[in-house]
Amino acid sequence: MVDRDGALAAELVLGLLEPAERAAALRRQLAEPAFAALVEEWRARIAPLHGGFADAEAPADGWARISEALDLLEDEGAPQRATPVPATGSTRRWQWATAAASAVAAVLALALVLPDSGVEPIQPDTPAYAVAQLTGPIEGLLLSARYDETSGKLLIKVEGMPETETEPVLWLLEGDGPPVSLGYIDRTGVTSIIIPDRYRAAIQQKAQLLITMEPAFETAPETPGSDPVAAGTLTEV
Amino acid sequence: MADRRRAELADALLATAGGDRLALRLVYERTSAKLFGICLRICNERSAAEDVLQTVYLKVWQRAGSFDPDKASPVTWLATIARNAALDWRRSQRESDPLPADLDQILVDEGADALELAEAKEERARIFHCLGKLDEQRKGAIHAAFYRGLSYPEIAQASGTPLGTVKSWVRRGLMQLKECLQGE
Repeated sequence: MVDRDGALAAELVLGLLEPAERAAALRRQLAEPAFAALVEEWRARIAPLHGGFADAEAPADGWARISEALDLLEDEGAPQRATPVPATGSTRRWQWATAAASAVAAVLALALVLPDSGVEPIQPDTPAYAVAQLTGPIEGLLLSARYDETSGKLLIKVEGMPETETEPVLWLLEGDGPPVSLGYIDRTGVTSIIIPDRYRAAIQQKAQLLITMEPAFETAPETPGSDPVAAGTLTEV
Repeated sequence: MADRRRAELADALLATAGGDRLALRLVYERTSAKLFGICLRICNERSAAEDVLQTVYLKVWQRAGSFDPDKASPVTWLATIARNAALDWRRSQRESDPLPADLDQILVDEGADALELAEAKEERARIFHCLGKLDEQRKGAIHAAFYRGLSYPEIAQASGTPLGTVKSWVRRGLMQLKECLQGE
């Protein structure tokens, strides 16, 4: 007899589910720890199969193109450089610049959506912001964070959060310390959080931001009840 | 020693999580051949594979902070990102081209491929042994899904078999793999 949830978890990991079924399974992975455990079990079970792929030499300009895309991601403080690299005869290079620019655009869009965010042209040599993109095992879930070092305000924007009965909680992780709760955040759109003084130094030192899904209580839990569904590291721009 | 290389790669991922681009470069130098092999096999198209390879390392840059050395080896973690990125590309292609013409070049019963390669590379993981014990149809269907990134409709089309039958092959094959891995 075929175990239905086990088969679904395995099909999710293999990539066999059609779009609607896949979205439903991803929601269940977020909402149901038992199902998430099955998915993790199958991920670990088939992982060794990756050893059966043959190697193939990567293109000679492979690293150069990645490096260029990273340059675009880091240039987000200078708006005039955050536009796509003009095509220099290679369409592919343009496509890559556009892909990286959309990552940049995701961060800048965060600024544009809030009229009172006080965005000013940023001088590249006086970093005043730290940004992060948070991703994890849930495909399509993306959080963009921007921390304003002057005001101590953290803006966090959520996209692609499936429907669940649990709510997202944001945590700050710095060094070896335990995660610090920054409270529940809205499951869509932008949440604004004023970071307490005692954490501001930590948040400026390449801290990690984590999201866990927690039952909805009146106040957020003090320790995470499950593994993070998304994580990212703050980088100064 | 394999353990030392694994530890070096894990350290490089940790440094990448801290924003060290040279560390990402080290990860790239050590793993690009393996990951490009995955992209090429699944995308089945060189220029797409090259584009996906770039996406993969950008994802590694963004996600390195979530790598947990207790849960997976660095290479497996990277290979999973690569395979999923290549699958994303196949999915995006399906929207405009539901059943691509190259399907008839992809034989479903090429199950021997990965097993032979694994033996040649001395991959000792039990799952290869367990996969080898499945009947040709179940093995071939699982192989097509994992190594070629084919969807159920694509496997059905490529093998000239009803969709329901293919699903049954895969599901029963997966349960057999699980029992084999647990039982021995």
